[in-house]
Amino acid sequence: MANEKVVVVGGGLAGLSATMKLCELGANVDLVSLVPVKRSHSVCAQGGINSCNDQTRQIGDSEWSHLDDTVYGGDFLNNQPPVKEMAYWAPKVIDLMDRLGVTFNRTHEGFLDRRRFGGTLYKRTAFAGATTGQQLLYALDEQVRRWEAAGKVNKFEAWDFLGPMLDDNGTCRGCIAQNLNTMEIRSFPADAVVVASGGPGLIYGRSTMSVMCNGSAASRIAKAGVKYANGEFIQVHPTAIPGADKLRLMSESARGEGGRVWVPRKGQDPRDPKSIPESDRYYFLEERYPEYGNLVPRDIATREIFDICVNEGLSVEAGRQCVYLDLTHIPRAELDRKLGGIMEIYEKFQGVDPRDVPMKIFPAVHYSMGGVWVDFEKSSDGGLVAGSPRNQQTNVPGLFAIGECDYQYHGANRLGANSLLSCIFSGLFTAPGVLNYLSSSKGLGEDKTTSLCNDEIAKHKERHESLLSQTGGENPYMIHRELGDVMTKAATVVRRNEQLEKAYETVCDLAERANKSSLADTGSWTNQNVVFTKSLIDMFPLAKALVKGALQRDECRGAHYKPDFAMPPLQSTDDAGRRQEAEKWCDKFQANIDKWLKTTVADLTTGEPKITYEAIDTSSIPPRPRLYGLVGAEVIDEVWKERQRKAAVGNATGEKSPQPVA
Amino acid sequence: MIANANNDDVTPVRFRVKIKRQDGPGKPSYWETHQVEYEENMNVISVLQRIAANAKTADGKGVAPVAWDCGCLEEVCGSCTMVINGRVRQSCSALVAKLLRDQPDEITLEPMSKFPVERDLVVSRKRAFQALQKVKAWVPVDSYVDMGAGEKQSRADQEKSYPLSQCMTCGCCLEA
Repeated sequence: MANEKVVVVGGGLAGLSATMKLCELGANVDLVSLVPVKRSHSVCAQGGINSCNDQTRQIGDSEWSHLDDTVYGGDFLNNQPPVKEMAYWAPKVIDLMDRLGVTFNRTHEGFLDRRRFGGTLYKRTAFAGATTGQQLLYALDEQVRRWEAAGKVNKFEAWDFLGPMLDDNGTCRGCIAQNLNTMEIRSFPADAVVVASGGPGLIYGRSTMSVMCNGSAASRIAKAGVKYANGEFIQVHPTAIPGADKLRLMSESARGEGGRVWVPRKGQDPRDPKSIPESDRYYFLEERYPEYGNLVPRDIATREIFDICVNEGLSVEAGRQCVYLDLTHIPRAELDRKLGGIMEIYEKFQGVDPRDVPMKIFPAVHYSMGGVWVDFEKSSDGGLVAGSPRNQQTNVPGLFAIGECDYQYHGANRLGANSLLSCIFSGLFTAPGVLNYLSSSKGLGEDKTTSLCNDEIAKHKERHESLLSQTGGENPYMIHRELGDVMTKAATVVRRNEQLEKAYETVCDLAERANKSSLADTGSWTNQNVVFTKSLIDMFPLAKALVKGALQRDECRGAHYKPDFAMPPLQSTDDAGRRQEAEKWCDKFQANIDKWLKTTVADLTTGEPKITYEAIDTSSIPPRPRLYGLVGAEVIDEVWKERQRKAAVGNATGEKSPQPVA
Repeated sequence: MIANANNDDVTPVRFRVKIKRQDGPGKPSYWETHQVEYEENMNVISVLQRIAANAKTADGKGVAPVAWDCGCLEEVCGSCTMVINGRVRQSCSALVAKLLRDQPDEITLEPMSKFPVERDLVVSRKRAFQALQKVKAWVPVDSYVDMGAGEKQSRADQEKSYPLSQCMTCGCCLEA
């Protein structure tokens, strides 16, 4: 099994964990990355990584409840077998990272410290200050360097993945990439390719994502025939610092450590926030969601902050929308020890010390739950079959996808501190499957490989040259700005069909204009202009899939919120009336499940996304209404549970279930 | 500098950026001056983004856009290191208003001098990563299979190692 060649595209947490595990299992890896892998976007992850642990277990937590929180938080759009496997692996993943030397914060006795994150009532989150992603990445970077020293890994840093190489049967045989300095275009023949290229934040212009998160690798494999799933599910993080070049994340851990979100009860109150008495402060998350308080799931916190500013006019400032995120009641030493990284970011970029003055924050595009469609093989206990080549493999044989660029783990809304977990887990778990794929697949043979490589190189060279020489007069940077504006307006927190329809047209126009870009730099060395233009052109298929998916999905689910299709709260004030309304509510909810509890699957091989829908595996935990803070939640919950029980009895006695689940 | 009198703070309408450019490895370097419209909260990254979108020198001559490296834009990745007004630092956290307060006429940008230039402000820091390989900077674990948790560690030890572990291999220290 040894010495087969695998190409890994992307060197964040997912790509690096896959690389080191592949090497351990005997494979050789070519690691292709836009940036030196130590600078990958995973460094930006701040808050932590989740697992059930010894502390939470003793108060009733379990891997099962981690699974439950993840799919409930994700509004049941997640296929459950991969989530279940991940939740059960989570403690092992953190143990491994601990052994690899990650400087996790410690309790007084020297155990791993934990904090609470959104969408759960347990302290599941292990953390290294407020730079957990950076620390995890560095540990993996070190391990990959170890394999590099052993001759098992060749790193190709500052290389742009241009596309996969598929043979006549549609099997992936490696990829083409381009050096960002020499501009050389070359082939990387391989027996399998694992794409771990992260999220597509640049589609929105500014987001919390790094500049290389342009989605181009995902778009390029989609163009070659890989399906793209749930593109419309984009997480808008509740708390970020608005900036001219970037919207900088202010981690959920700020709230996990006791940070409180509020606005003055009177809009644009000119008083110094510290002098505003408690009675004049509106802690709207705490008031509206007494159980979860400031730690409601992200989609909900985001909508509430948006609502407070946009609909209720309670923004802290007049010219700009923002609310207070207040940490000033927490001792400085504790803030420095647990949140130092983000304290510094605020201080550096805003020039104000958040230990003294409440921060001003607003939601920002943060994460893509959707992504490259990948398969899985379910085990008899509802998890995954270890070592199955189907796990994380796309519909193109030999082409795998892991990390943020896949769609698998987070459903309609990701819980905080689950992304680092899904990245490392999917990397580690996929490696044996890739090896098993290699041992069962036949090589292409030298001659055919050579001619495939030559053809693909020629194709990409021709495209490169034509971009350099074309003179359409359009400025790619300006088009990118316009794309960001239209996407941010139409496809973030609140979505309306008439806006989405218009946005789709605008995106199509921009796509055509992007094809007519004229380059200011036609040189053949470190030409960032041409690299950017290629990535811009490849943003459009994903943007179109996103907008079209959002337009077609007439419901509210997790991060996808369309007020015109929202489930209303109960109105009635007497018990009988409420009960009656709840029955109707549940009928409607069931009808919506039947219609919309499905994965959106887009075919992006032509200019227009073709969308179909696919059933979701909800075999472990049947879908139930997500009722955080809804008026009438108790009655709805009661009615729904009764129905579930009846259905279960019906199933047991051999009757047909009145509520088919998945 | 053309200034707007805005309360006590003086913010310019536009300002000059002098950049040390180089077309490729081993090529001669040369200075070039650009003019950029001031925007609120601007940092050196957004200055370079504006220049990329409209690459003209201060006297209106069209040139190739300036090449530079950047990544996270929040000072945790180490990509965007350069010499700004004579001092090495990350360009993402270099705020224009502050730079102009210290040196009102113009902002100067140069590549780091201890690494070979690829182009303009882009340098190759390969040797820093090679050094990490040379000193075997990794934990030599037996395997990546599940072996339970690592060793217990005191809070004091963690607080000592965490800041060291935040080194992002930006190379600043070589220039200082």
